[in-house]
Amino acid sequence: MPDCQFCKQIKSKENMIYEDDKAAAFLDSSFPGKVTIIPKEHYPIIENVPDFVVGHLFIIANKLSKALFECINSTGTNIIVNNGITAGQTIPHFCINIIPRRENDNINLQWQPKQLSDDEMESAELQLKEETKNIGQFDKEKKEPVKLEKKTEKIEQKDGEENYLVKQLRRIP
Amino acid sequence: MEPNSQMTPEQAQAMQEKVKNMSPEELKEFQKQQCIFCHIAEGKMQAKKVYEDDKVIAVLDINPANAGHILLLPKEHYAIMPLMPDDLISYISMVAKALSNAMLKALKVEGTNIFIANGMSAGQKAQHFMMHIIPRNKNDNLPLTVPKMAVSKPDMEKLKEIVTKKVNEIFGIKEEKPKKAEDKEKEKKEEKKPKKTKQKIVDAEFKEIEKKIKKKSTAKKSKKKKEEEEASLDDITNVLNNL
Ligand SMILES: [Zn+2]
Ligand SMILES: [Zn+2]
Repeated sequence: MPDCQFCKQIKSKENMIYEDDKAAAFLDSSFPGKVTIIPKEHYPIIENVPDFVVGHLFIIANKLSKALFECINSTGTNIIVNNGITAGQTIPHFCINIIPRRENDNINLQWQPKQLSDDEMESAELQLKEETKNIGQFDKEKKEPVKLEKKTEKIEQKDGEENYLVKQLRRIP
Repeated sequence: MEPNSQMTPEQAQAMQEKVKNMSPEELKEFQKQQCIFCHIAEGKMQAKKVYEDDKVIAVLDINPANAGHILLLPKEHYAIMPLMPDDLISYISMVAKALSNAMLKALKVEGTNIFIANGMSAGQKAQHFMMHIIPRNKNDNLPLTVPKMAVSKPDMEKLKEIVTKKVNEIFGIKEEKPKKAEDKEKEKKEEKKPKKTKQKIVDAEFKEIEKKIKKKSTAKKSKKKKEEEEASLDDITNVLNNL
């Protein structure tokens, strides 16, 4: 996507701290030590991202979270996906955020628990169960089919002497 | 959720003493026995299960941020995410995606959050790794937006250098260091020096090798020390503290 901030950043490599064939990660200047991991391919929300790419991105997220533990003395990390504008997503390119944490850092990511009735809990359970029945098949990375080159061996011949390949051809069975 | 909250101070102290003398294996076993999520995974404790397979289980959070808030956890006990093997992280995140998808359809919500807390300072309460999958409604005002504290350009440069170095170390990537101005000067000077005769060069090389052999044992140690010093870099800590 030409107008996408993340797609542009993949090209410019600004603040990039990691890159491979599927993923890229950047430091975000909106918070000290915050890291954003994105798929290189443009997908708006997690539902669009192929399963194996999701798996890969979270493996990278864990390793980068480890890096934050080890190099900027954070004592914790939050890994957050904001999936959809309602959930706080601001750029329409799926990303995983890592926020380094410390004791008493005055960051509030803690929600107040809601008191739900037994009925409310049960109906949520039933509704979700209905949709989770089909979970289990995950798409794997398709390896590019090996292209068989149709190149035939070119037989070069020097004047006066016969190439061994030609000799093979001349052999009478 | 925390077993400590129901203990008398004496009991808590006795437990702390016990924990002090345990090996990592014993500790994991001890944690497992105390862990309500292990009990849920083993079916010893009731929970509203919404998904289960051989590796993971998903239940409704009894203290939900919103109705339908799911906790997704590995059946095996891992205290925090960095302890988990890559293939399990990959697998559980694919299930998280599927559950988020199911949530959008089942609860007719417009968004979901996937939330992980690693460590107490990040708000991790139970000692069993889990992913929160939270349905979002308009104007529900959950505090799940990423905080903002702008970082200056010079601080970003410092951060980038430190983080990239660690990332390369973790991923085993060899980095090409840009040459410092001093080194370039040195090189220039060396180029200007009159060329030594072959014999002299060979002699010098032998001397170098001798020196290296002598230094080898001490060099290893001092290199390690230097790396440690660089990695601690207190100025970035200060940057983070002061903001
Ligand atoms: Zn994009
Ligand atoms: Zn457990």
